[in-house]
Amino acid sequence: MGQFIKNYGSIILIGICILIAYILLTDVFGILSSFLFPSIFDVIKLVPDYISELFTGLKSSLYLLVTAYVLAVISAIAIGTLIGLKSGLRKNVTPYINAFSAIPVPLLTPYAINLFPTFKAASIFLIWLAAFWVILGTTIGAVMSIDKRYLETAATLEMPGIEKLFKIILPAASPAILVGCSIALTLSFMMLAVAEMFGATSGMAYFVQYYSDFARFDLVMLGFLFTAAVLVFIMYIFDKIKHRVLHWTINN
Amino acid sequence: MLEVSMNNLQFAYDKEPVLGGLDYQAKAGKFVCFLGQSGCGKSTLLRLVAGLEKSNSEQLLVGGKPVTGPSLDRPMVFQDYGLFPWMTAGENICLALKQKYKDWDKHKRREVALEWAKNLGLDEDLFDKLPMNLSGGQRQRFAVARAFALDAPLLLMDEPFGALDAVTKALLQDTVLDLWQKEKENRKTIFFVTHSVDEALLLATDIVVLGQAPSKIIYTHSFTDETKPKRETLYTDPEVLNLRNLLTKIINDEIVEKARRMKEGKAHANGGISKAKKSLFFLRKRAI
Repeated sequence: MGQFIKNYGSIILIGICILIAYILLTDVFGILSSFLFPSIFDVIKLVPDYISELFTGLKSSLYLLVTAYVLAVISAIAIGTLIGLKSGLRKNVTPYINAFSAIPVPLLTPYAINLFPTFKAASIFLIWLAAFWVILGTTIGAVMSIDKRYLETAATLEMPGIEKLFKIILPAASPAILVGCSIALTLSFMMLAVAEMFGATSGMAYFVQYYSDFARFDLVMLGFLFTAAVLVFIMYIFDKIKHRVLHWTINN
Repeated sequence: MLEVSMNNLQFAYDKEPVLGGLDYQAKAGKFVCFLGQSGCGKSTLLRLVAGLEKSNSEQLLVGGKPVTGPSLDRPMVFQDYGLFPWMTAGENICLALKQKYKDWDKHKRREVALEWAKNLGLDEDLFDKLPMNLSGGQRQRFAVARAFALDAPLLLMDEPFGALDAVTKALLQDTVLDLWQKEKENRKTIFFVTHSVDEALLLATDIVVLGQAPSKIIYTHSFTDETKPKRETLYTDPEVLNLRNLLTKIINDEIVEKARRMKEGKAHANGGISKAKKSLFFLRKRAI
């Protein structure tokens, strides 16, 4: 218990401060519009009635998110490593990467709907694309800046390509790659909202969008809180994995 | 146990010459120390022998064959440890053994790696620690253990003890020398780069002094088993003292010569600038 408070006490305290500030601005002083910013107590009362709907949405959202994110991690790390290692290839493709990655992904929604056979596939594509550019960029940078000593030591040990990739290149580049993966995860959540705006029949962002259309801002607030809680939980798991992978770095 | 021949060995980084034609034959089983001031190309020479830089195939032969790239027969110990920080110190040795002895199983690799760690004076409990949890001396011992464990005929060491404190350095010098001497007939050829005259005197069977870049060999000295200095007599034996003075003088003369050339170069450049200023003044005067 003591350890728990030591680890998370400050985090919980900040959360309580935000909550108190919200209660003061809404219930106590009524500074914020009660229509857009409902009382937190009213929102909590809605949980029993909508919890199953929220979890159905969670399942649907996670399917899109996990599929797109895992595909983005695999494809971006594979392509990024290749580009990072081959200077000739990097020189030729960098202008195109810069050009395409500058296009805001939400603007590609009509193209995604047109190109993919289902709305679900189009949604996965958009989330994938948002995560892909971030991980690709950080992977290229990370592989390019690997300490030369590691590569030279690997060379003197005559390590074959695949072994060198998994035992030297990727571990050496992993600190920077994981920073990209972390940013990409947050971005994927943002893109989920865009992706669920069309064609979806359930989902966390769909829940918010749907009740927003009916001006049910108490349920919108419930959707926000639920999504935030899920994101915090996923980021917590991600940090645990990151900590395990980077156990050898000084800051861990 | 490999011979190394350099025949007018030249090398340049982006047209900037580093090695200006080295001629040297290192006999098999010798402990050759390359001495010289910083930037004279000692490390570059070692990198060429390691195959980390490309050389002209005729100019550098190891065991009678041209160097075409890095090889397990020519492991290198770097000044800054060169251990992979994401693996434990023991795993670093095991990884090297895995590349060399493909048919060995995991247990055999660990057993041999442990033996080499112990040969370098490392306790078993350090074996499973990450490099970041080891001292500089311990890390370098593991790096040397990895190189020795490969049992290569030619070992390359690039200022391996340069970053260590005096006591750790002395202990490691003695350990490396012991390991090398123990091998008797099958002694490895060791190429050791250092800028310390004392270290070269203590370790080498052959000392090679390189001049300033583009460097050439400006002095060589070979010891016999009888004349090779020992730590106990390093600061008392008159012959060793004379040799140390000579080596120090040769290196210092090179430094003085380099400083003189730089000064001359600067003066020449400044002369050029004054001339240009005068011309500008003349042009302005005419314009007025």
